[in-house]
Amino acid sequence: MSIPFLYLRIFGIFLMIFYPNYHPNEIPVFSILSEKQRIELKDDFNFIHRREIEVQVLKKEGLEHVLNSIQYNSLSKVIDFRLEIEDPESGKIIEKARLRDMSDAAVYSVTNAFDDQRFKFYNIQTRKFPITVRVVTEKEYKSNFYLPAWIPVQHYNQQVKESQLEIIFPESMGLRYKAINLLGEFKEEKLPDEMVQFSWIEKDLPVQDRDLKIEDDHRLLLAPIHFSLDGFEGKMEDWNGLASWQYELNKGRDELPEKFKKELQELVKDKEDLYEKVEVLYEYLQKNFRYVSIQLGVGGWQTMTAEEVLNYSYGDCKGLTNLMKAMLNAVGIPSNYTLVQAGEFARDIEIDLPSTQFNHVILQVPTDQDPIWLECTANLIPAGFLGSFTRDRHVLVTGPDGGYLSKTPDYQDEIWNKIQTQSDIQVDQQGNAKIEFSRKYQGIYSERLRMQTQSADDREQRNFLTSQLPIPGLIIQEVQFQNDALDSLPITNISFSGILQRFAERTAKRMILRPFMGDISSQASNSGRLVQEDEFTLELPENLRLEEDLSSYNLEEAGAQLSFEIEQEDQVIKIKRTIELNIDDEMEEEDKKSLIKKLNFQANRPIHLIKNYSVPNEL
Amino acid sequence: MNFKSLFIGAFALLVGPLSFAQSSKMGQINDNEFALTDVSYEPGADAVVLAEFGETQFFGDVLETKYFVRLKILTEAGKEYGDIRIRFYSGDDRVEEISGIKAQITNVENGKPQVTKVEKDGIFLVDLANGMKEYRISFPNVQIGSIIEYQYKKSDKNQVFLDGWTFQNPIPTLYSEYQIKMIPQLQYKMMGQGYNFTTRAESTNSDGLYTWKLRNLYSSKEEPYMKNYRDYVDRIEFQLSQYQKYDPVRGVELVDYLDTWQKLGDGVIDYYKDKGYYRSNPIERELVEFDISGNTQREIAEKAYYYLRDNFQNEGEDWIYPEKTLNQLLNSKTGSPGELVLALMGILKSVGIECDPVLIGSKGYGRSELVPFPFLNQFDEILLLTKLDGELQFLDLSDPLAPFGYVDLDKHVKAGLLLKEEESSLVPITIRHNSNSIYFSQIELDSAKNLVMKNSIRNSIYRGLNTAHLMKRENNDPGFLKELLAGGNPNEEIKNIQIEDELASKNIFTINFERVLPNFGEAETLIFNPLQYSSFAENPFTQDFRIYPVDFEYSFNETYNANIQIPEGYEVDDYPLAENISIQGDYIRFSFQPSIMDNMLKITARLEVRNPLIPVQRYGDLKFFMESVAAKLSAPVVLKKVANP
Repeated sequence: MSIPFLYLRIFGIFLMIFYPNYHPNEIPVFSILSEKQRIELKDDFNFIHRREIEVQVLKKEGLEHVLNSIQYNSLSKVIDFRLEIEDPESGKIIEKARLRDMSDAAVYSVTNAFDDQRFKFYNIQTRKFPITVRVVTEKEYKSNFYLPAWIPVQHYNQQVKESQLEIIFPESMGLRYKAINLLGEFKEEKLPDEMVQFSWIEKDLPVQDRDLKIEDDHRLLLAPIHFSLDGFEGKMEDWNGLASWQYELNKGRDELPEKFKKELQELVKDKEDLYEKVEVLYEYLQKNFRYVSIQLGVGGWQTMTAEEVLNYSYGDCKGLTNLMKAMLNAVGIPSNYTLVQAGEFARDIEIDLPSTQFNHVILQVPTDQDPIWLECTANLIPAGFLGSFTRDRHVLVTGPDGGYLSKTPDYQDEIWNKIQTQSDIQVDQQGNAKIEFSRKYQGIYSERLRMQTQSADDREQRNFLTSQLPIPGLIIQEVQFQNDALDSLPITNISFSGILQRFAERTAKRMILRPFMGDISSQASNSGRLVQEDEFTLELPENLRLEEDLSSYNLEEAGAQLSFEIEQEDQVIKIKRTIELNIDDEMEEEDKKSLIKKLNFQANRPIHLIKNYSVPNEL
Repeated sequence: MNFKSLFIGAFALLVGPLSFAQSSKMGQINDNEFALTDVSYEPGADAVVLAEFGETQFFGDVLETKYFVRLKILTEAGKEYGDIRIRFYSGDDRVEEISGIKAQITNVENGKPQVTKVEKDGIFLVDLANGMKEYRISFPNVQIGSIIEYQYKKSDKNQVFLDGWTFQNPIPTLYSEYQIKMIPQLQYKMMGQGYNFTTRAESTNSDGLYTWKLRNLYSSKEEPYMKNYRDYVDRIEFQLSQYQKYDPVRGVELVDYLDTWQKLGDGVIDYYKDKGYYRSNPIERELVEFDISGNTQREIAEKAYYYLRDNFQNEGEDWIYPEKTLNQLLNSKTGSPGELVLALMGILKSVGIECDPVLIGSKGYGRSELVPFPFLNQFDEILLLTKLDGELQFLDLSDPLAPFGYVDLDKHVKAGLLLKEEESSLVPITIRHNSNSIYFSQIELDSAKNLVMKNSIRNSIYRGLNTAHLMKRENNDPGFLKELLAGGNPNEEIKNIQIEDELASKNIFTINFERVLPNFGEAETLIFNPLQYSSFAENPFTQDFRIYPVDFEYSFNETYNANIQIPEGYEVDDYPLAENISIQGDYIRFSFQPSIMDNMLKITARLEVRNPLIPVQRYGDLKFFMESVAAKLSAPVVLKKVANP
């Protein structure tokens, strides 16, 4: 029997003893769902979405699985809500509610200055379990531009007995779908009046828990072929169609006053290189305009005019991107407004289902080689660099001829993942020390650092360093944060001098330097890409020598390399440490964790120094 | 140029004490305000409040406060202050209203100030929910160096509790002034707090016009070991104490509004009575099927406590005003901590146990000390004070894992208002407890040359309760505890975890486990850290300096014992030296003592927090002290093979 298995067994027994409801191999079920959804599309592109659910709530946690909150905006309306709760023991209805019983609130956004997103909600009073909750909701949409996805299992710890979707649409409108991991039945039916009905039914789906991989979930994505948003009609039969519609929606909104155009032309007149011209204008945008989000109705997709953004000096992603496009156009550089599904942990779009899968806009500037990508809402990154919010994913590039899918850069090469350190430490007889430290972060590491320290004042920058750098006893005296760039490569240089209180602990025969070189950062562990080169020089007080237990070594594992060189000459120890990570994206999380732990253990060991003289026993 | 010399070079531009008076008039920006590029006492601040003014006046039955704010953007990140939000409670009856919003931004272009007014399309009103509304102002042309000004009026129909003024902001504030014009018809008591407010506010009083001014205030930001920093913010509030009434015979006379603790207490008791919490019938019906009999009052009270804790859902905000009536609470089996504690009162009273609610201002509610006037808005949560078998006992139902007699740490305040009909009064809240930790480790080489560290972590009372919460997390996320106990060595194993939850019976929660380092005993020297588990093996105080005191919440000690069995063929080569340290004022102590006896190296250490609130002036000492503790607790023991055994 392997040790991990033994451990799990013992631990399982322990949990069983003290937590009798804990069953290690069974996902607890908080509720059981039966649901029927119906989407009825009309010729005028409006549609009604009706949901009928019955949830058997087995315990308190299952109450969160009851549909009691409905979001709406100026393009949609909640038209019905009925809820009743039955006590299965007595068969009596113990709570009822209707639409008028719901409260209404704004969706509170810290990023949007103003939007039309609101929700209605009803607070269930019953706290007796088990109960059976039946809910009917109906919502009317004024546009079929976005059709809700059908996700039969909507909650962890929910058992789905049956979930059904019917969608009825005019044949002339057309409908495409993508079924992902659906296990049940599909039916297609022609109805009178040239209507078509598609229906899916899923039964007895497995209960999910938080370990579920998102790609294993059951989903159905829907997209109309003909659509309309606030009177703007389009076709989504392919990506080109959707891109054309987007282009037409913004057409004519990129006009700039002649005076401003001349100012822009003046700014770039001495620049020959395309990137340099883009850089000058991008920096101008960053310096003079800020991100303020206003999302109302079709304004969620149509940009403010460039002139409006110019007047206010603010705009949302659409407004700022459209302005940048107009600015580039003013100096003769064409560029393309590009739709993206943004978010550090957002999944990539389904590229074989042209549909509304985007929530953000960036700009693409074509060149003879790779395009220049511009994130126009960020004022922390250099021109051409895309942050974790938008990199390494498919995007829809739009233009006068329609558009196409492209992919943003993934920044896997060494240059985008490099950290270099140089540090000199002088240790005194008492174990305190002085330190001079400098570190250069490139690419994704510079970006993260910029985000973390962007609003830090002097004190907060120092606090950030003393809390993030694992240098024991650090008190920073002078510090410099310097953000720089090499074309689109962000670079951050940090340097400081300071003192280290109780850096070394004295024992009877030794001086122990507490670990100070630092572990592999969680960012590096997550990204799996890193080239870190560190050099440390330690000046020691007299009569100390390095203990034999620590010598130079190399470690090579799948996806990782570590080289550690240490040498002492007189009272100076020199350490050169190189860590390289190139971890396969498919590596299991547990394996990744143990690899990083192994590297950290070897790469950041305490340094023991033996005193060349002996001291009396101080016990 | 390095940062410091840059800083010194720029000092000439910094504002010291302003030589020009600040104006509360839109656009009247003085030269110092234009010239300011950094804040001398908070260099690198993103933005600064140059001046803010509040003026409160009474107009009939409406209170009106004029607000004026002038702030300056100092960094790129500071541009976020170009979006302002003003929240207010409108309710169904327009309790509060905002009017007269004016906003403008001034940028210096070519040496001349350019003013841009915010038009209506830059001001949005959002209806949030439950009567709350919010105005949002988005300023145009926000640049580094922009000076933002806005003003508005807030009318308020509530004249009992006045909002007053908060002098500090999340960014540094150079000047903050508040004035209130009192009227003879309404008499108020003032509640002021904060170190700066009490030590250096410039205040005047002339003909009923009261003014307070404060200058050069730090930004109010969170710091570790000070979770209730809001209790230290400089601010002032008011509560109505008397009002004028016309009597045809006696003429105008002042009538007490809330002039005694008794009257205040009776008002709250009436509220609780209206909600049914002093009625016995519903309780008696509830207890028909539940036996709470016992030999002692304590036994009965414990049964009642656990009945409510284990059969009712603890949901909702801990607040002195219960939303649910007693009947609703009993029917729904759900209640907020305040409602549950009042239900507990009902049960105990129904069996003749003396008990009454105590209102307290919990930590973090915004008040570090009780104000010695009967102001209700200094209280936010409820405790229950009982007399069990002749002994006073505070009870609380905030934490569904807490055993009988545990009181949420945020409620460990100095005093509270005991609610007794016609006898309400302030009572001290003294909750004594010894919440300590004992770490024990027996270390030896086993026959297979594995280094086995048999560990026991025994936490008592509130530290034990913390561990119980960790175990709850383990229940939801199995493996969490193992990860928590594991050290950095990839070869080690954590084995035989055993939990002893004796919190309810003995106030102790113990975790026993083994940490095994396989094949350890082959080397010439064995080096390991015997004290692996401590809250302070790393110094939690990494900041250079602090603004607020360090608050450990309660006095405690951590004791560490490691017995290292010296294996055959080895001898002790080295170990950390003995040490006894403290800081000025003796707030905290640490001792470390190694000894060798009978082939056993024993290490005993003890960290003792004697006074949990350590003033900010001692922070430098504390930081060094904790660094020394961390260094000592992470120092290794070295065993060496005997040359000629």
